[in-house]
Amino acid sequence: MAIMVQISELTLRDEDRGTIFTDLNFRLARGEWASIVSPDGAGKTTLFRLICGEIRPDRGQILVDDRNIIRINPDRLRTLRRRIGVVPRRPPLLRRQTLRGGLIFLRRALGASRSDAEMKAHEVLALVELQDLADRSVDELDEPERQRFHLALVLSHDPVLLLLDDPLTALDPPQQRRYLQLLERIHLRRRLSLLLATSDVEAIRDAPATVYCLQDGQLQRIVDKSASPSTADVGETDE
Amino acid sequence: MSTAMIAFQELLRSLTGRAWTLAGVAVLITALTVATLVGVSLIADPASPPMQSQVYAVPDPDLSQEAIGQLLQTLRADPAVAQAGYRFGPPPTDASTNASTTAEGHFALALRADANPDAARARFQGWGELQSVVKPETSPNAARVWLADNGVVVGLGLGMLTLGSLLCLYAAVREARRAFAGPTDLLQMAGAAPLTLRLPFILLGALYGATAVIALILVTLAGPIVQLGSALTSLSPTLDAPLTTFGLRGLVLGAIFGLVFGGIGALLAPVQRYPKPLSRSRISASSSGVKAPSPEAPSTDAPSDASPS
Repeated sequence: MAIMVQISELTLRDEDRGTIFTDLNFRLARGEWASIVSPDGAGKTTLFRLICGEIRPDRGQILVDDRNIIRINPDRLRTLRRRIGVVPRRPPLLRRQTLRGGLIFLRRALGASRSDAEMKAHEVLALVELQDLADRSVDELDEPERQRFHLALVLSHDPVLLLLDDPLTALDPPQQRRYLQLLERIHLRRRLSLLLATSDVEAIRDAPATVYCLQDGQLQRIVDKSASPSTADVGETDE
Repeated sequence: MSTAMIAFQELLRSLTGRAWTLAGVAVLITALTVATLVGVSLIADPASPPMQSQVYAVPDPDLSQEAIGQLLQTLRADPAVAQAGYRFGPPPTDASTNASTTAEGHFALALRADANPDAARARFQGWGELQSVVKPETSPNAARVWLADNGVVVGLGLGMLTLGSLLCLYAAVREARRAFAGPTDLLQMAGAAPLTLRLPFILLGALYGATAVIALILVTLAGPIVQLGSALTSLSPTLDAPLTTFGLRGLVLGAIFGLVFGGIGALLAPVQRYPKPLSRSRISASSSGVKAPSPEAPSTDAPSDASPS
């Protein structure tokens, strides 16, 4: 089975926060959806930053899309970042820009031609069901629409791994359900590997994801929805 | 179009009213700084001849244009004259001299260094075609002496002005960076090249510097050209082209300011710094005891990803 993310015996200490991870093991298969649940401050964002290569662990190994994040040089890491879509907890603001304009800008700034950027903008807006708002200003979006727009921005550079850092916090339960249904459709259509961090375990109860709990610096699997062939081999990650 | 230029366009589009205001202030102060630096450089230029060797000759008002042209040629051929030019309007003269204020124009004459100014003035005064021959309004010698006497104060003033201009630019670029934070973060997260993130800010700094110089030159040429020309004539070593000298020096200084401003922009550009890759030995040390990746996972030591260790 192909692996998208493999973390082996990860240890990270911080001067202020003490030990954040202790011998943490985790594996995410290609096309798998996993969710990490923990209270705020447990290290979800730090784990994502480690996966993205922004910080180094004290010990352990991290493989992402067949690349050793610890050994990779910064230029190649930037190339790899294009294959990782990150929706941070506080997504960056694109002020005074339309949805279509923002998507075209991002795609073109990454080297695509104008026609390609326009096509991609149309495609991802349809994917996140915002095609009717394509010419609306980003400033006019409400919170659920903004969350979907950020998803569109991330999807516009065709990632193979999607990291979503607590995207549900700002949404009420019905909006959370709609967002997760949208994620499910995107996951099925694009066959992305998807890692969603949240502090709200109830919110992801119905999501077709294997759920891990990040506690005491380790990940423990609490819900196994690995019935599908692509996610059948994640047992080793339990401690 | 390069990715950096696309980012630069977006940066300009993202600038808020506050960012534009700060940019305007930075441009104005930079224009003032460049003008002051160039003006002082013209006064302090050691190549400048002493002011006594400059005189203004007012032609007889009854002379025709043709006669004035011939008189200019005669003056240029005079052994005491190094350079001669005709300027419209009355000459800027000392209040003590009794020059006509109704003159339509005057000759600006730079005398040779070895010429006796008083004798030359007296001689020209005797020419029937010239109504009067007067000294310039101010003496650059006096200005130069004042500069020499107050060098520290002038230097400090110029330093403060330059520093003020740099600080204004710093504030303007910082505000631009704040306005562009969203797109920058998006580009960072999508793995944009550092040049795509830096170049827009370099271009922005250079644009501010260039705008200051262009504004300075436009103001010089459009508005108070006569007054400035007269003032520069009284200060400049070259009577024929004081504005050209001013403009050229302004351009050079503006280019230097633009480069410095661009450098500030580059320093302020928010580029994600990734940690350097660990060497093989450090990985071995840090990962001792770590289980090898599963057979499905490819080797972690692929040469393509390894940095030179």
